[in-house]
Amino acid sequence: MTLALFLIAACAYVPPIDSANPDYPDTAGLSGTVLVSLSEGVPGRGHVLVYDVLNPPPPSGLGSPVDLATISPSEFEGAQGGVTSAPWAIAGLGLGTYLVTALIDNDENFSPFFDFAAGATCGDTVGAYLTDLTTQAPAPVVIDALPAQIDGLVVTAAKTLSTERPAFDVDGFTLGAPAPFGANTLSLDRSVTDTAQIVNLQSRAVNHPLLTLNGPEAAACASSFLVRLLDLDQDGEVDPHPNPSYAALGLKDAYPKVYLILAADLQGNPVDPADGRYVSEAVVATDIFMAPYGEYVAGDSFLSPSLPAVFLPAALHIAADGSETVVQGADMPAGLWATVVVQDTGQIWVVPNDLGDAALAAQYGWDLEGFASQGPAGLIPIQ
Amino acid sequence: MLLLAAPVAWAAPKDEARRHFNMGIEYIAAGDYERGIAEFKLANEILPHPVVLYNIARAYADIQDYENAILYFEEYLLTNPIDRAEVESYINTMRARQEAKLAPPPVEGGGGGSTSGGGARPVGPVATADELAALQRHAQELQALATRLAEREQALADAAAAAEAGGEGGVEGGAGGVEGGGANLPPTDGGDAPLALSEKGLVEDLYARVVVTASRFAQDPLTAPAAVTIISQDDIRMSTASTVAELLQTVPGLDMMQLTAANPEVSIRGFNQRLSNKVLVLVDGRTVYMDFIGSTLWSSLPITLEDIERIEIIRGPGSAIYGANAFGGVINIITRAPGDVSQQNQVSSAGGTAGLARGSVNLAGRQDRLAWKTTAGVQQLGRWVQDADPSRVDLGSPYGADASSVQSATASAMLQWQLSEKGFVSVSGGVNDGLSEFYSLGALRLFGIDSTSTNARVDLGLGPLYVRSFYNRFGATAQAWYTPTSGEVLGGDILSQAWDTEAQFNEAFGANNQHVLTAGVGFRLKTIDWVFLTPGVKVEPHVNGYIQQQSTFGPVTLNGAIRIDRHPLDNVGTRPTARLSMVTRVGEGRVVRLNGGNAFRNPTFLESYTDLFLSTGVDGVLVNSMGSEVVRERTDPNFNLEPEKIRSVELGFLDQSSDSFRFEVAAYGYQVLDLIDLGSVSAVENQLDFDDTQGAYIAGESRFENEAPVFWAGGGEIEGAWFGVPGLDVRLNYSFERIVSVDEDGESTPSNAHPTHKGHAVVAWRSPWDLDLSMTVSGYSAQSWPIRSYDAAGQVVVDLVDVDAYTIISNKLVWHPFGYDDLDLSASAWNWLALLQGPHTEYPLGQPVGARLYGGVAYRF
Repeated sequence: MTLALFLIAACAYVPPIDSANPDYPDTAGLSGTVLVSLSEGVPGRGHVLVYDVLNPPPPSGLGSPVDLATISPSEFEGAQGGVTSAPWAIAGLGLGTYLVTALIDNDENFSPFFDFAAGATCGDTVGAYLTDLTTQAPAPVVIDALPAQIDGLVVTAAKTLSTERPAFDVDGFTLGAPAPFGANTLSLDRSVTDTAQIVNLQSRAVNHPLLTLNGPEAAACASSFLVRLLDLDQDGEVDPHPNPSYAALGLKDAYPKVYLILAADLQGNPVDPADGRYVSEAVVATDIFMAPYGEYVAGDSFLSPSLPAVFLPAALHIAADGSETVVQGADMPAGLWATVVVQDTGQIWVVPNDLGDAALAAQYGWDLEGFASQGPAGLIPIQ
Repeated sequence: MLLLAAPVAWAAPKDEARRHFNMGIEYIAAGDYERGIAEFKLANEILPHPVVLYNIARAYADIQDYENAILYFEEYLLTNPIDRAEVESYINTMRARQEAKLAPPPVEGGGGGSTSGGGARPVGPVATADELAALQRHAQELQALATRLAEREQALADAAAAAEAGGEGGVEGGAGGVEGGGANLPPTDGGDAPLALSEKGLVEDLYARVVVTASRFAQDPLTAPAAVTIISQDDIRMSTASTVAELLQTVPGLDMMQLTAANPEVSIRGFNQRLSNKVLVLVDGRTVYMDFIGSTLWSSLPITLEDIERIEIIRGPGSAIYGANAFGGVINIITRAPGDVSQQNQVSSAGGTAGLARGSVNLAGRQDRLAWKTTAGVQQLGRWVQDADPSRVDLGSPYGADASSVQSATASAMLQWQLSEKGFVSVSGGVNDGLSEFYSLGALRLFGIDSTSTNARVDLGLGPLYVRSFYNRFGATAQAWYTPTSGEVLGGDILSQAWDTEAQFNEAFGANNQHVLTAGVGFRLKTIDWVFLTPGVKVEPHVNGYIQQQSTFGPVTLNGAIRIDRHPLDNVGTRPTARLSMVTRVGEGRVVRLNGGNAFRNPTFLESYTDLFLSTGVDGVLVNSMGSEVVRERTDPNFNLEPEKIRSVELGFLDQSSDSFRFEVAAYGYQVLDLIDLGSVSAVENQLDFDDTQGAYIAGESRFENEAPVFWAGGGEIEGAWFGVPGLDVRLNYSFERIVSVDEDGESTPSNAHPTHKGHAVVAWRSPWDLDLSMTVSGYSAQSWPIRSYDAAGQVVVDLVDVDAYTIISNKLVWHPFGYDDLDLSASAWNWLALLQGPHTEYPLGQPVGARLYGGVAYRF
């Protein structure tokens, strides 16, 4: 009898749950389908990228994905030149609100490991998980409790890019006027507030073992700046800059956006991430496009081999805790600043980048020649 | 008769039987036959043995008590000894003498005495009714005893023959087997001249401990060239252990940590780890070392606890005898010999808390020269914890929420044919099928393994020549126990096979057999097909040869062994190993042992051929873990992965001078080089390449590589056993170990990835009231384990994670309501301290270890 009871106990045993096991923390998973619409050909490698809504992807932000799922081309099912689809899944997310985008790397030159290759290039198809087709803005996916599993998210990738990434070199500049290209005499002065300081960027070609971008002279997919003079209110005038202070200076709203991000002190010592980030917007000098030529009008988009931007001695300090403070003039930290160009297609380019990384070049046997300007030499000093 | 005396209390039967037997020898040598015979009978009651019966019969014959002598010789014959003809002849002689004594005086001249019908009527002593009844009762009792002995005897004979041939399956007491010379009786003359008895009756120390693993032949631990611990079947019977590994817990110098109920990791003298790979585990001499991971999957062994005759644990490197992988020591699990019913046919079952349920059937028998045995069992051990809530939506498990830590069924059988006194052939096989959980390497965590493990084996013993061939097959599906709902299930099928053939020659020669030469050759073919490795079946042929010489010169016994192993991979190649020991007798039953040698561990299939892609935390980006051969093929033709190596020196003292106690102390020093582990992640060339096979980007690679630091280990064990009081057995041991690593710059770092101090106390008491009690206390000092992980850049990061000191206390109560050899009812409480203090952890990544309370019933017949 006793043994029978013991055997029953054995069979009825339910082990306790080790809910604090660090190997299996509560997480959230997302899954769904990627729908790809192509006018011709078959999809390349699919990528589903998940962003924190607080750190959104370009063009609305400068965020990097928090996770990435890949889809082999063979997984796409459907008619060639039509709509194809494949399943995707992401695991291990924490609490938060996320944006889900898709990048179909049709020319197969994407790599998540190098910043110069971690973006959509001309010919790639992009999209997002959408709930409002009118705005085409990525819809937030909210995870407010763990564990969680959200399935059935349809990510639509239907926009095939016809523009190239805005690869560029930073040219020298002079105060108050477009700088003559080629003179690397660049230095900005944070104390100058009464005179416009112009940063000129020159688009460039990239011919690298891992990435080839056509030069600005190419007929198609030129690596130029896609300038768009915004007229969101459709009043026939280029909109004023959304920052009232900048608008008061007569600056307009346009793409690309140009941001300067503090990377190092003047001695080249990298900034400590614990100190937060300093971001300054250099506003595209729309007048330079419009005044000399006069043919551009509000709402136009056009390619330009150069991009002048007005540096204003002010920056947003985003502390490690997320709090934001505006610092101006002498309160801006002096240092070496990286330049980021964001097109409204979501394509971006950063200088410096891995193309100019001497250590990587040596490790992989890349030819650094021709890419020195993509390295630390491309940092803009702000005194 | 003393056989009918009240049951004698004992807890260590072998030791007590040995004491009584030796006392009997001494009494008889002194001419006190009555007390000598009484001691023999006590020994035989405690642990029956045919040779004891023979000795009793012989003693009676010596004092011309032919009636009892015949009685015991007849009992002896019921054990079906090989010298049956001689003993029958001897009985006939004694009967003739009896008849001669009982015959009436010759009738002289036809007168005198009464006549009836003209025939002579014998006149002599007439048994009374009481005497006849007593004789009848004795006869029945002896018949029952003899039936059991008959089967045990053949087993002993078989095992002894195997041991003499060098087989590791030899059993204790083999030296007293029945293969001794027959009794050459003088012609029946009806006189009273002393009978010329066989020398077999003079066998001393019948119940002596014998170890067969240390030198590949049966020998007294006093002459063994290494420190040896033996776990006997009685230890097992009084133990609360539910698994083989738990049986090992109290062995001095041995580290056993439970990661799950099904996943113990065992090492000897430190260097334990997940998938512990530095101990060679044998079952009856057959390696069960899993070549593909370099570990022992204890839960897949096709044995039941009830089938184990004893376990021999050899501490210290043993490659010079057993080749690669006998790095820290050897554990040889020796199962019952076929035909051996001395431990009786048995049906047992148990059930209790923590999901424990077990059952087994063990049967054995013999018919003339054919002996057989079979065992079958089922086992279930619940999981200590569920690592994650099974209802979680973000995780899934292919095994279900109610899966046990281990749930398996096993069966094995063996047939043995005795060809001659020293010749035999046997065929055996086993299977184990079940599911168990275990923690895997590196970033991998809990896995489930649904496996079928089978083996087939043939043994042939022909005098000094012993040939053994076996086949091991392990087929399994191993998968991560938990997988993200949105993730890929990591795992796949495994098929590991090994064919092994060994031939060994073992011969004693010289005066008093002072020299023993052992030599052998072996061939092993291993194959593996596993999704974690590069595609295709991997095949590795291995060959080896060894020679060992043990010689005794006065008080000194020297043992030297050299072995060469040939590995098919260039980076391993031909590896020589050696062991030299000197055992000096410093008194009766006391020896000092000095030994040293080297050993190595081969890179496993996993370490050689891994081509595994592991998550980085970003779903579409993986890291490639690579074995040495993959690295050599793809990126670095000069990459070299050396076998792990160890060099050792050891000094020991063993005192077996008394029948009442045993004492041993050992101190050792080790140098350990080239430990193998997964290294940091380095970027792969051309990371732009998308791996279509994996459907992901490959961020980098990590390799199995040799660690640069050299490890120095030193420590010792001290153990004592006392069994001076009938029924009481007390064993104590304490182990100490320190390990430091010295890097290339000469900087030393202490390692605490083991309990520096550990001690065990085992007390077993067989009371006079049909109740046996046992208590085991084990204590372990705190540990600090380096847990390797990878940082965001893929570099190995080592975090020291502490494991608190812990104590395990277990108790067992066994009740024999109908005598010792019938029905056992038991209640066990294993690690019951966990009920009061909560479960403890034995390894940072392991599950908390809880208590088990269970009841059991065993019926012997």
